[in-house]
Amino acid sequence: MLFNSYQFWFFYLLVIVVYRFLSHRDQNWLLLGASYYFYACWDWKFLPLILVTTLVNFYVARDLSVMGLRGRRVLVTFAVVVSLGILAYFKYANFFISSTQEFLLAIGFQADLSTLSIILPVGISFYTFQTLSYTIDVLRGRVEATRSLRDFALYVAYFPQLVAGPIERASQLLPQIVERRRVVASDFTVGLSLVMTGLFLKVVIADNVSFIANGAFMAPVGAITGTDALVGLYAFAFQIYGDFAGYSFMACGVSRWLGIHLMVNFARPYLAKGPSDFWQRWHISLSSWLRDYLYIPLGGNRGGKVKTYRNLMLTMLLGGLWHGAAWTFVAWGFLHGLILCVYRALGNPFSGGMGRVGSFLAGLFFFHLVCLTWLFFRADDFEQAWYMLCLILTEQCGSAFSVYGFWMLVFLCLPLVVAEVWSDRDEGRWLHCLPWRMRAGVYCYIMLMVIVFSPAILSDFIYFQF
Amino acid sequence: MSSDSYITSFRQELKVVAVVVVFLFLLEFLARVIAPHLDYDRMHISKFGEIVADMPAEDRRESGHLCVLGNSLLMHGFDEELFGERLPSVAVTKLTPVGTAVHDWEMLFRRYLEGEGSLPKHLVIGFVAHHINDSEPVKLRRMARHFADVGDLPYLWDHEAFDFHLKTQSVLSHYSALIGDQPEHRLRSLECLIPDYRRGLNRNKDFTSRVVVEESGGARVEPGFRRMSRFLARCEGHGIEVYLVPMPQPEVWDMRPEVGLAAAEYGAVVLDARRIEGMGASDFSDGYHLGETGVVKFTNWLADEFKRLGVYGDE
Repeated sequence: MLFNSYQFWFFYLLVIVVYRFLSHRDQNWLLLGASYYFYACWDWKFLPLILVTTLVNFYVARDLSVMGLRGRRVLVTFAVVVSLGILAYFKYANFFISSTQEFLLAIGFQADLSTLSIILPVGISFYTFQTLSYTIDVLRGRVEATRSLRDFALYVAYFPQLVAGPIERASQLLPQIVERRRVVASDFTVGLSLVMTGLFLKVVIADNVSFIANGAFMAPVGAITGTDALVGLYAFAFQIYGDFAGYSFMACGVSRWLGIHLMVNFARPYLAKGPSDFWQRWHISLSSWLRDYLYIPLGGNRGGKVKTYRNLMLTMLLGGLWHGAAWTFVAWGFLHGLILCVYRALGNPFSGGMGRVGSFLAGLFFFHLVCLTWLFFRADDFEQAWYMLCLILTEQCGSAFSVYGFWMLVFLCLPLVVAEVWSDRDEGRWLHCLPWRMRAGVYCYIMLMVIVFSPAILSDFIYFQF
Repeated sequence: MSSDSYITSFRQELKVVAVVVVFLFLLEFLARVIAPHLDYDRMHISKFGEIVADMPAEDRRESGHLCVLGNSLLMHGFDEELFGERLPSVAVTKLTPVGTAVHDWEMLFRRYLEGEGSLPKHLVIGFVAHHINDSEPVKLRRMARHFADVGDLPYLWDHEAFDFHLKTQSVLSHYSALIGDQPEHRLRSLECLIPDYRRGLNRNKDFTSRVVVEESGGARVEPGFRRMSRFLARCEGHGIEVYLVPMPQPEVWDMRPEVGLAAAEYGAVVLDARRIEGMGASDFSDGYHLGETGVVKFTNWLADEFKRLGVYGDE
């Protein structure tokens, strides 16, 4: 059930109409039932996985307060092993098997390890990380364990963010589930602006430019020029941003109409001036999760330069692996780790009092670094990534494809870039802050684009596979 | 959101929503106004009602009314005036919307011919291979908007196994010109706005379709003919004599044996135009459609075939 499908909106309309007439307790039951139904629409066979993760983490967290130090460690280890074990089996088993086989072959051993026939449950990475953060926070004393299994189950399975985040923290989401929610006008206004923004990003930008990106990455060897490859790479950069940020905005919007505020997951990431800035703008819920539960426990920047670089690299490598079970994702994480280390060691090459020009150049340079990393993220294998990189660097030559691709990007993405620059100049300036007439004008533009320029095929969200 | 420092109210937001709704109605109005003028094909489609109204009524079917149903192959390949000169007593109606296939023709038949009670005595259906098998994708918006009656939509959903999204899309497309004609609006707008749009798009399609073929392992999926069989059964039920005409192409194409079997089962006649004596590559205007000389040759050939079969007596 995609956010940009009629089925979702019909489902959501039913939920929200009934929701308005219920008491707080019954609202939570309704949301829990709706969330499980929403997930079952993807594949009901994976519901038991969520239930197991929920039950294990709920009872472990509940019993932590009555356990001694040793017992607490055992319990948390159990919860982590169960949660990550499920994730490892469903997401990484085949990756480990095939990698082991390739490694053995490389060192001269013939091994016949057969891969397993496993389907990746949608959203498993998201709800596993969200659930783990709760148990760890309870262990650290940052969150009090909830006594209501219903409320905790809803925290794990809350449908707007179940399959593609944001990865919420218990300290942020649980109180909103436990406490009575009020209907306020601002929620309607903000929710509408978020849903409109999300629709635009997904339907107008991501779904349109994905076709161009697919063209460049699917073209046979020798069929495209470096310019074509570059246009395809830019298209993918906007596709993945529009796709994931679009989902996140819509998730926040529909949740806001239910009176539950989800965290902002994207904040104009392509306007970042450097890697630290970028990771405070891109997939914020994951990067802050990795910071709090991996980078800082590893020692963060407290153990000297070498350890800081090691911690950065480890965090980014695991962040890359979180995105997918393939070495190209690991390479993507490695490159981001490397960029973080280099920027940390050398500083931003464009900083140093250059004012607006320096800031613009820093942003432009870093955007291209990010695009370089997307090459490895999108490519089927290293061979393709390397081939396209060589093409981009050596064979710049326009073609009908690149002209069409470039102008499509300008037509579709330029308004977004302008809006983001406007928004970025004054932190916190969002669409809903505009006077109502201007807001109406922007919504009319968005509806025009969504209706007239949506492509024929309804596309899945890329991040569902992570 | 990092800032909620703004003033808002439900009433104000409702004004915003109202403006958007009014804007959408204006767009819809505009789409309806321009719909018949989008291109030659839309002009033709918009006249279906008139064309069918001019057809002989049920009680005049014995007069030998012929309906020609197909797509651009027959639109450019069949000259009804010339045919009329060869067979003067025959009233010919031509319904040939561009880019259509057998599922479109069936819906069109249900809406305009069956629904209006204007059934022909003879029906000629012109096609090449992919137009009549089940692998041809449904152009949903266009079909729902122009070819299907609202009462026929459940029939379409059942036979094409549509999900909730597609069912909703088909209903919206049927009632709204903005949604139903959206692919055409999109194409026209992007052609105006994007340099080299058509060439770049075709190149892009080449790249992506190549991988789809490779991913299927190059294995040929046997095409089904359920849509064609349904349509032929419907015509047979009305007592209409159907003539299936595999159309000429610069190179002779293979017709699957299932076509002949289905024709035999439902009493249709196959008039094989794939090889017409004296017709060559120069009779085609673009390597696909018949050109000026090709039209004459094909129309004469069809008239000769009708005479040979004695469809209209000794004429």
